[in-house]
Amino acid sequence: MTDNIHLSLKGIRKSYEVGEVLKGIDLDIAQGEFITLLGSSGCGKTTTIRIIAGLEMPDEGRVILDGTDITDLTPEKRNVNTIFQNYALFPHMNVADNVSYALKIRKVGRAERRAKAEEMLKLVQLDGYGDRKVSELSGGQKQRVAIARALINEPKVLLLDEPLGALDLKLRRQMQLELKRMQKRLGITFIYITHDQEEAINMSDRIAVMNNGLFEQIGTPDEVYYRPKTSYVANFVGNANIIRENGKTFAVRSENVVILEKESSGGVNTVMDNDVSGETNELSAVKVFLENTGIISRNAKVLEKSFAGGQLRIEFELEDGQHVVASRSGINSKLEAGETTKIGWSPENAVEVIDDGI
Amino acid sequence: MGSEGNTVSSAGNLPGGSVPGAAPKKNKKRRSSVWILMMPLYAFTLVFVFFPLIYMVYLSFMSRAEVWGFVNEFTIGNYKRILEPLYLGTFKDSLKLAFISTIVNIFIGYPYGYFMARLNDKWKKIMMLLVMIPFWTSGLIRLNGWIIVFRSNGVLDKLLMGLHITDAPLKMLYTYPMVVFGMIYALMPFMILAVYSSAEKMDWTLVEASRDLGASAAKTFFHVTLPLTMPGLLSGVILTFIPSMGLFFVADLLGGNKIVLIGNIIQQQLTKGRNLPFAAALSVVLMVLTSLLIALYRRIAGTRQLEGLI
Repeated sequence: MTDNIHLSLKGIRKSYEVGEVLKGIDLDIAQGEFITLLGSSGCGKTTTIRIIAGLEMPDEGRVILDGTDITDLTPEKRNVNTIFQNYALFPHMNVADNVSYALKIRKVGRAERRAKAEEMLKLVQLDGYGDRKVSELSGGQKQRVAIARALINEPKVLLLDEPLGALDLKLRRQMQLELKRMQKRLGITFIYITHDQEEAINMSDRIAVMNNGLFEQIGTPDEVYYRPKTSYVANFVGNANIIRENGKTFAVRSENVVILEKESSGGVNTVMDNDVSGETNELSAVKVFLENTGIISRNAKVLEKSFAGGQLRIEFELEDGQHVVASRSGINSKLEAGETTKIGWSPENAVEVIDDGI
Repeated sequence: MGSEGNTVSSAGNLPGGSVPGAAPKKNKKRRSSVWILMMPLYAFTLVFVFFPLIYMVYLSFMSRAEVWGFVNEFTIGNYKRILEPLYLGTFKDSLKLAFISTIVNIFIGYPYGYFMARLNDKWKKIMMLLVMIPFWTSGLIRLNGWIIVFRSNGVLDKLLMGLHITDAPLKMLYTYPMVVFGMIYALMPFMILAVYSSAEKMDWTLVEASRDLGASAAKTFFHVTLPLTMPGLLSGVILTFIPSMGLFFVADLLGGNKIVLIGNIIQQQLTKGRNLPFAAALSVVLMVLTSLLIALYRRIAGTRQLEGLI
């Protein structure tokens, strides 16, 4: 993608009174790419897009758009638009005036402005809403108006700062799909900020996982999910267990943790089938399974069982004190808190990662 | 001095007592208990705003008594007398002075209030304190302080002459600009606080959104910042313009006898002239005039909501 670089961040640093927020980040983005900056709050993702938008000046580093250095340009001189977290719609203007604000600034005539606004409103499925007041709109509608307003300028890059954060779950899912569809149709580069890994995985061409002012890993959703580079990425994106053994650190996602004993209620990651009757039978089956898969079994004590997100989560404590979570479908398990059992995972499901202490 | 005159003219400045009356009206339908809670307010408004107002209007149509008070004889003579060039001229002068001091107040008070709202909490407090400190002393005493500064061979003259910038006293006191200065000084805090309360509430990301959408800083100010702080600015205008016409003691102290404002005439008619009906008529005209101005502002602004007012 080297010859297709559209937007480029080079060694961006930024400090505030509280400390260094961006510690020299580099990022190359291709034309028409949907890239997500994923990280928990305070990781520097908002500062990054504010620097791209020109709302913040970097202490060091350059921002290059289509080969032009735009680092020192004021926001209005950049062909980049932003969707703000709170939408930032102008309360003193109606919907159409909000949408066509950029045209008014460019002194486009009234009739043309109105026509273009209506066209943009159609794009976000709000045709006929032009004369409404902003205060009469629902959260989802405000979101759409903000998108229409930002797209009327035909920006090269659209920056979206947690745009779906204020919406309820159902609407958020729907808007995710819509945004993705819109982005594909328009071919505009989207730089999207979220702290929700599901959202990132659903929408992005690539995800840049940020932590502490640096990118931990930049890659496709598959890459960051299945082949995390660091323990932070494994934990944040894949919700994986971080297991430290023999001086190495591994990430094992909870659905890959196999419960080898005393659990035979038919979950995907149990060894046994439902019809297993006797203990001897169970143990010998385990032995065969272990030999076939290369799983090393570990003694583990059940700490807690909980049902969340359609999955049963069982938290174990290994003999060395590390905690491991196994998850599977179903709502209950025969295992009770305090019981000991054996658990394991196959070597190919344990991804070695760089340990950053998480 | 002339405290009665002050009361009359300031009561005249209230737009028809609608200020306390407006809020309870909306709640009327909701619950009778709200009504009961609002009763004292209604009673207060009735006794201290509505009745005096009616009384003042009534008074303005009565005849003057020989010594003090009035005679129950209907006349429109008081209003006719206002049309005399002397009084019409005073109204014109008062409006002019109010206009000038309001304009200056806008150009100093708006930036002050606006930037104060943008400061961090610590500086906000400091700047706010600077605005509020003058309120801790009586306005009369503060104006007397300015007399010490500005009078011939006063503090300022001595300083300027000492620095050899001027070589004779400037005779600044008892001039028109001095009264304008005093008016601006006395009313500036109201403009600052009105603008501040509006600017403080404004969402700063709207400015960023405007810049992001291609507007320069100047265009953003006229398309976003100014419209959104307009309620505060208009409140500030009303809060400075109307008192500018009535603050007679500013003209008295800093203008000597040379500058006469409508407030001075009302006060003089009441005290020295002992002509209650005529003072009342002047007050009624002033009140009607200011009410019209408020209506005009609201029409221009297209807003029914003025920051902290009405």
